[in-house]
Amino acid sequence: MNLSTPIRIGSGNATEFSFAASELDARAGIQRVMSFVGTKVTGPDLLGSIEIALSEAVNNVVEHAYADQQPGKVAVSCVYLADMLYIKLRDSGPAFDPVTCQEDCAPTLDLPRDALPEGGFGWPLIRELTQDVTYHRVGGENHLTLHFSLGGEDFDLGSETVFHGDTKPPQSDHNGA
Amino acid sequence: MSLSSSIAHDAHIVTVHSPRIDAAIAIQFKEDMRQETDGTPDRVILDLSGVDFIDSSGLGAIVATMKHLGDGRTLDLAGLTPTVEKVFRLTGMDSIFNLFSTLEDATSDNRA
Repeated sequence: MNLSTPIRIGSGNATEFSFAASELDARAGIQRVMSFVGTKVTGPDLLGSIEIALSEAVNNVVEHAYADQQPGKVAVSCVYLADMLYIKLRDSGPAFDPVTCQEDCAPTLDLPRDALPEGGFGWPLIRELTQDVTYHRVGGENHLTLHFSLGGEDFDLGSETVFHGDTKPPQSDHNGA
Repeated sequence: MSLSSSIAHDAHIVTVHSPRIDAAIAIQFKEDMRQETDGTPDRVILDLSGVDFIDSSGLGAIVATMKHLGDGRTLDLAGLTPTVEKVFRLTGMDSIFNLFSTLEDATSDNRA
């Protein structure tokens, strides 16, 4: 299936958001995505988790994908399927497979105060807050998908929501890493 | 980055007047905190009750602030909202800082 096709939900409402991979544009973009997600997911605890994971994933693109060139675009699309929310990020930066960061990649805190880490928390947070993370390199793009379990109570799909086009969940096979 | 300061119970209270401490503001926050806490009482309490969201960049800036204070000075955190508290908890940073539910708890030194 073609993962790069914009996914639409409802009566023609595009669920893909695109913004420049700069810190300020990313902040506004994240807030736009969260406004949309907030119309479907009502639990503040779950919304907070989604916003943290989304922010860390977008920040990673801002910091790494276009490090040596003019910032390109980040495209973020959302699809709801059953009790799952899939948020996919696409960028055109060099290949970067974050799935190589496994559960034990959190930096140690067992250190003197002046040696405590000030970074390296992004991927551990994403791992903690998502049910799964998948990555594919597709046609010169990085496709990173965050999988969230909506778990029923926090989730209000609404009666008018109809899926058009791609209604399959993203592929779940890892990229061999 | 909007910060304000007050002194209470021999502590320097710094209040953050920004709903987000994220990647777009983390470096500015770190620099402003250095200036704000220069030469103030040894105990600094960061009042985060007005902050709805923090990411790992903001977390790193708070860690950097604490490290910059140096030996003999402390940075305690007060008024963490749920999403901010979650970031500290999931990264284990809740074991590094003293966290207080409210500023009042912090100034009367009741651990959260």
